[in-house]
Amino acid sequence: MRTLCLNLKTPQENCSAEAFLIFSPRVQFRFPNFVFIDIESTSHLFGGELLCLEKALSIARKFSPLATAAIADTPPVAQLLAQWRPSAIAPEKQESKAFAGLGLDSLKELEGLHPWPQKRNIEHIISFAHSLGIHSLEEIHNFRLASLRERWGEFGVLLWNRLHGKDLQVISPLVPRDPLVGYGYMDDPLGNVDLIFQKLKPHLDMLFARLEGLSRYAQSLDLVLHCEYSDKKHYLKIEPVSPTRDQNLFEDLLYKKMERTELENPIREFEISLVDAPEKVQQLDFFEPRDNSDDRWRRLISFARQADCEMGFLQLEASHFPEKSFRLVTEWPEDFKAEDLVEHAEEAVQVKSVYAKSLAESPRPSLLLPQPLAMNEYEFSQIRFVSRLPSERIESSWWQVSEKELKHRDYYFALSSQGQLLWVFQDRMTSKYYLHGYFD
Amino acid sequence: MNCLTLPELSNLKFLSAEQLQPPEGVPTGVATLDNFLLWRGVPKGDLSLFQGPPGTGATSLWIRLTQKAHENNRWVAWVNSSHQLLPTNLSHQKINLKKLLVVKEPQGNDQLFWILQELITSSLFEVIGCQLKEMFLKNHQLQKLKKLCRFHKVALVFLSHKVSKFVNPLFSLSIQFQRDFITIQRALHRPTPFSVAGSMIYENLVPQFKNASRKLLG
Repeated sequence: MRTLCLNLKTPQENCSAEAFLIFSPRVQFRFPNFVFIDIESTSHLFGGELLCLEKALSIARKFSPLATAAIADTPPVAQLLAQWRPSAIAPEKQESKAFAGLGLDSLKELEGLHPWPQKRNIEHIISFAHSLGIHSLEEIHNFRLASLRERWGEFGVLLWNRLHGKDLQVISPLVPRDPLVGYGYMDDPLGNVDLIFQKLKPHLDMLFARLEGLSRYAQSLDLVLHCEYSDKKHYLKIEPVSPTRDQNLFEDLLYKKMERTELENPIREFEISLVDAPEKVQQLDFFEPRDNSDDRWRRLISFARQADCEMGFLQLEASHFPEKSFRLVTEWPEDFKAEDLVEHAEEAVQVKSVYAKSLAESPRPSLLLPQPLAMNEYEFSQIRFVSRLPSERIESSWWQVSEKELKHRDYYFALSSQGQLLWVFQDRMTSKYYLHGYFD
Repeated sequence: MNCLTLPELSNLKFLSAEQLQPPEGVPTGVATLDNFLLWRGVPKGDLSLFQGPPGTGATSLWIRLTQKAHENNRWVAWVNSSHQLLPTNLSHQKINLKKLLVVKEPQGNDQLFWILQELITSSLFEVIGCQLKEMFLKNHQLQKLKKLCRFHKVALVFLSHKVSKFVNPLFSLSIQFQRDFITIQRALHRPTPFSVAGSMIYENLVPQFKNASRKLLG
């Protein structure tokens, strides 16, 4: 079993192993800072063991900049090499060649998934070997099983097995259970956005590395900043238009939101939590253009949403009332079908009339006022109607009679004294005239 | 001592008339305007200003720009003021609503400036239209936008409802929309003011508003 061992050097949490699930489902974390990955059947997917090792190291350095790694047949030797010969790849079935020339102190690292039951025993073996004039691991490797058993019993057998690759340690598949959360406590409370962001960065790196390992997307990110001098908390929520794993996007949005947060009361603790969503499966056609403009507008809309500014595409709605005939949507607008639906079932034909069918032909102004503007007498005297008869009549059902909602309208085209082309309607309930748009 | 010597005249390379290219522009589709302007349309990578009260035709000219941009499969953005762009009218004019990003009325000057910067730097759009009740961006902000437009090759068009007699030199093209004609107040390397009949822009509009009918109404 080819094993990749990562020595992260600094104590880590169990969940950090999730980031390495991209290499193999068989990943195991051993306290305090070791991750073992079974790459026997998956290394070829990454272009060989060397590339696999390099990629694993690049991920591990997000957790700890001093991380080292090595590959061997068994977890104990992989751990030993990761400590004493970083980035070494032991030849297959000839592990002993990889640790040739190492001193006896390296025996302390010959552990793998199960640490030595007692450190005292291994220290005793090392000092005993030194007293015999044995200083290299190779010489210990040459001892026979019987002699080690005779001197140190079960412990000697375990040592011999580990040196000869006979200690079977099986890496089990990792079942992710931990929530995607991060927590930080600052010894000195901070009120500067840049400094707080620096503290947040490692947690974000780790969370997004875990997301990648879990093959999930982040739907939203919640950050709670706890203030120092009161129980006040700042709740910041980042939610892009669609779930994504784009860490830069989340960081940009978070930074901009933090900049707008008043941090006069400095921050002592923070909590980050990610809400994950399943990865979207994209089935790209061979001839489909690989244009990333889709991501760019999503990013733009996400930015605007954080700044409380609405942005999107115009979606036509089936309503006769112009102010209700459209809305802003953040997804692609659907095509408005203005034709009747004709269904053929055997010899029968059924026509389903589409509501607001005539909208497609109705003349509409280019600019619409958000609310119809009542015209006073002077304003009314300044306009001139193009025709005596209304161009269009829009009204609700007879049972929906309401003076306030202006639901019975006769629309006219009109010209103002300045030469403006106007869209004006008369409310049939009150006979008042309202300006509703401009043919600009 | 080093002394600079001028190169001989025979060694200098001159461009031929064919090699001279006019600066890039987005065509408006109005032949008279396009032939008159140096950019053969609205300047790309620069600021333009259309000013006139609503209902005099500025939005129609912008919609024509959008049609041309969509013909080339390019995206367009629009920033609303209190008046909203009506999609029913746009679909009559064969505008692809999937390539038109609309921004709701920004809350103040700073947000407008921020949005314009974001729109320009996204490099998604060829034309950006920004409708304003009156021009309230400061000169230093316009300068920054001009710089960004030049870098990202975006035609930024402001449509102001308030007419100002002062022509800001930061706008390479300034057009005023009036009762029956439009006047080009400023256009680089062209004699201005230059007037065009308004009917050219209203060509595709409702038949009631054709020039002939309007004259009858006086």
